[in-house]
Amino acid sequence: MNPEKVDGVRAMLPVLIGVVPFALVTGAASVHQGLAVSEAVAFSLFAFSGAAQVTATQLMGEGASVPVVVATAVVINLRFLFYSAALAPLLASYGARTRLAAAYVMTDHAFALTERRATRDRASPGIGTFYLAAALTFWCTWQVCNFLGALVEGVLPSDTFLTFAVPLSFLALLVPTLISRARAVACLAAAAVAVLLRGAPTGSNILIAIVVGIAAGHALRDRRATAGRVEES
Amino acid sequence: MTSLEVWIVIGTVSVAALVSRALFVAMPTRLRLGEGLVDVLDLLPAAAFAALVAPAVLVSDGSLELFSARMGAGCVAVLVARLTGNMAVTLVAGLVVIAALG
Repeated sequence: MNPEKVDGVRAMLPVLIGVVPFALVTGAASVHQGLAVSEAVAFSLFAFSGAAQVTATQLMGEGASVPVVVATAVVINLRFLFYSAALAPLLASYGARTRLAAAYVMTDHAFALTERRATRDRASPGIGTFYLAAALTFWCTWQVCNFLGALVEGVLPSDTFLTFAVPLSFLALLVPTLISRARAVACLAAAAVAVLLRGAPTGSNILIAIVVGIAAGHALRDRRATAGRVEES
Repeated sequence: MTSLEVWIVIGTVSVAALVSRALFVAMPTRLRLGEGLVDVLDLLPAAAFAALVAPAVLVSDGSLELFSARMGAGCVAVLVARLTGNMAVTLVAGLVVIAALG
């Protein structure tokens, strides 16, 4: 068995402890907000994005319009562009179909594990296989648990503390990425705006918060770059 | 929302998600990102997750609640995430706190 494959699965296994409740809650929440089980499964299968699914279904349940739901979900998922750009060189040597599959199964967790391996350990040319194995492990687990969550939604108490697993998962993903001041500023600005604009039309606070957060982080970078140039001259 | 509208949402979000994921990985890598765009994309995950987490932790029924069980669990989770870098442990810690504080 290819050692990269084994490493990939092994690396993802502990992460699954967090993914299982997240997926269960995502499926259950989707049905709770009014989706049919088939729709919840389809969302998971085609969009394959927990953050977008949870947010979109919550907005749908709160009566947001289709454009707002779509725009929010799409913007949340734009982070995949960043992951895609970073992973592309690692997957360049693989065939087109494999790369398409690799794109489809891309998640924050698989990306984070692969990036860590590429920077910390000595990245081997087979790191693409590591990524695929990790991502597929996640994908299978996710699909099953999302489906189960959707199925048992009626049985699960809807206000169980387990629903907090969703924001907790986002927190667990967020904290390790705050490696630069610009990112920290973007994070704080987005958080502040999202909370301050909580009364705004459903979903728009998230959209605006992301844009403002990015602008704030970017502005900090510009200021520091300019200051650096002034100091040098 | 009607069933048709739900499927429209699923369809558009799915296509957009796949395009975002596949743009660099599956398409010819002759596409180069401008430096400005790279800077913006670099900040996206942090901004997006923060925008999702903050209201979930700090807002309850439309009102700001700074001292709540969720805030406590969130703070513990941040600490544990910083100290361990382990997602599973972070989640368990956060869930334990919120279960304990109700």
